[in-house]
Amino acid sequence: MKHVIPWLPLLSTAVISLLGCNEGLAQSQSDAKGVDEAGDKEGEKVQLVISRWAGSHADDQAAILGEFEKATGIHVRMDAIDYGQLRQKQMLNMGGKTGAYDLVFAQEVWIPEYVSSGYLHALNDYLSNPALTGKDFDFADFEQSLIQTDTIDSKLYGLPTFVQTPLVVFNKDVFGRLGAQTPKTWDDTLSIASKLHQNGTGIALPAKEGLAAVDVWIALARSNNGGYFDSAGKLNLVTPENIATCQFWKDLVAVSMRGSTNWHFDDVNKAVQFGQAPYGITISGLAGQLEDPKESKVAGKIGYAPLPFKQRPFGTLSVWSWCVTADSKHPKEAFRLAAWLTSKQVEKAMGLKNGQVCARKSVLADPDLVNKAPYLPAITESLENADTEPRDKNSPKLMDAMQAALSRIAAGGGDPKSELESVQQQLSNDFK
Amino acid sequence: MLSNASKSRHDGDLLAVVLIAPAAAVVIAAMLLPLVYAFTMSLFDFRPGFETQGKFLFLQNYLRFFQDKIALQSLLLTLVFTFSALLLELLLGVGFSILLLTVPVWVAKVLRGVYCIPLLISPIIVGLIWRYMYDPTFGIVYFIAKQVGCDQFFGGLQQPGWSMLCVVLADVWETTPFVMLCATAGLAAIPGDLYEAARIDGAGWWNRFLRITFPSLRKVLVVVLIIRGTDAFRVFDIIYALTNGGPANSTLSLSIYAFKKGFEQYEMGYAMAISIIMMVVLSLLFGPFLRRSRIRA
Repeated sequence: MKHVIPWLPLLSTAVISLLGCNEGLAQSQSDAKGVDEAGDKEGEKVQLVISRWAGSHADDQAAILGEFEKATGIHVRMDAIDYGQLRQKQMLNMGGKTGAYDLVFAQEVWIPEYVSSGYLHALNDYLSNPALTGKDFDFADFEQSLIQTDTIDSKLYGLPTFVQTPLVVFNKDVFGRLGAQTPKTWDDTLSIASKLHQNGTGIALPAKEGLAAVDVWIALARSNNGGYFDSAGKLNLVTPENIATCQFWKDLVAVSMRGSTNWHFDDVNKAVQFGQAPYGITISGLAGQLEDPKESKVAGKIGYAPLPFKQRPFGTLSVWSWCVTADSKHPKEAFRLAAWLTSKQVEKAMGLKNGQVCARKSVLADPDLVNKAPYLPAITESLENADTEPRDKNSPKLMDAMQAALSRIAAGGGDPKSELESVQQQLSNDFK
Repeated sequence: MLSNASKSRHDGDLLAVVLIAPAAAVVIAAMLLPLVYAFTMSLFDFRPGFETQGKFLFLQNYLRFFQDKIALQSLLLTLVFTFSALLLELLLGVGFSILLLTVPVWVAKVLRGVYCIPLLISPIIVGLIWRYMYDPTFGIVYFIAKQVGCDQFFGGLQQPGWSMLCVVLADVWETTPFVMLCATAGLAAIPGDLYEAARIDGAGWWNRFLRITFPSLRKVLVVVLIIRGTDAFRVFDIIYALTNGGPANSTLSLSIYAFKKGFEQYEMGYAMAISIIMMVVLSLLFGPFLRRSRIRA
């Protein structure tokens, strides 16, 4: 017995710890499900949980959600977290079938994987139900290229809402003094940037080793009839068109503002916003900052244009969509919220509030919005011929390799052809 | 049948086990289990959220590391960063702490407080501060470089060769105060009599430093070397904020490479293998110092 007694505290500690673990697990599971169970118990009240990235856009959206709650009696809780952790958290919840999220804000490149993993609910059956969509829903008003982005095997898995596309911005006063017109082609761009560079500035480029540079590069390459893949869908980087695009990128960096090789879109935007850069390539989501008289030294002086092209205009687009999760206990209500969030009225309100670019043609052409956001026509023009980055499961590897290659070309004096050959060789096993 | 003496020894052993058990449980739960988990998962190919659907690769992820040019390059860059940062921090930290002994006490106290401000700032914020300081358009570094006529020569964060130097300098700015504080504590423990006797014997400044200060500081410096060396080898946040590993992968540390593999390219198994390799390299680099410090203690 004496031998047993000293072990008792250890045993009891272990038992208590195990019980504690179980209790903790049970608690976390009930936290995840609790929302819906509470709704079920009361029989009337439904609570939806939506997952998205945090920031001023989320704050504006949270403020507007009260109207939905008032109109429908459905309570909505927003789980807004850092963008860097968003996908992982969404996947962990949907993969674990916790039912914690009813509606997730997903980027177009995530959707194929979500669909193949069975995480999302197809929306086709709900689209024709006015009780869920609202009577002014007007599905045809969505930019059809964006609807296609969210469609897999003829099934729609998301309602597009937040569109991003790279955009050329320029100071109209400086361009006027230079006698320069709105740049459209590669030659225009290089010629104006060279003149500005001789005067001590240049074009501000997002040439930092990152996705921004790749987004701009692929749009330029596609405008030159290039791209990542050949017509058979095989990785084919070493083409004359792609090499020419890399050379153009290298030439452009040579006449860019100092600092460009360590700038992302937000750095370019700041340089333009504070009047240092007269010319640059930024992203549509940041253009609103340039027109805010309280924050911008150049409000009202900026001109906007789609990215320059070689053979045909082309842009890169990224779109965020609202997707109903497969494990949602309230898929109809979740869709109802998605339809409300992407309705014309709400999209217009969000556009007026923070300059958001939505996926609805009528809203992008709305005179009130265009007055407030003079960059909208350029964005609409850019979206007419635009495509996303590839959505293959190996795309992150391709993006990463291209980021490093473009950075070597821009900052390290790398040879365009050798760099493309290096990426092609590096990824040949991943894209057979 | 056990004698009374051996019985009591046996009970004493049990009591020792019981007393150590909580600490051992914490070590197992907080340190060993995650390590075992990381090693186990490094033998698989899996994506975040798909742990149960992983493909067993055995040691393939480890073999891949030694065939991966970027991984080997980032290992080399990490070593370059670690040694250059550590060398500068030790030289400056010990140098400052000795210099502060030569000024009036109240001045030394004020200066020590001022020098320690960077320690209070999070590394990611240090990275962001220096990123703007290094910016050719807004930054003070380029402004100063322009005043002394070398702004065209200075490549800052934009050129591969210069970017590593810039990152090292930012890290040195942040962590030298830690070395200085440790060295100051070590210096305070040296009896003044030793210096007095050396002076009487006619020893100069350099001789006093070589024969009294440096040997007395050796134990402190070994501890600093281990703490700062392991920190520097695992560097992540300051580089992430300053360059994200660029330009042209010229500041890509192993931690950043593992992060990119795991959370941007979703190769979690490979990312874990890189982390385990990092731990092994760290043990090889700093293990001997740890052993040495323990024996001497």
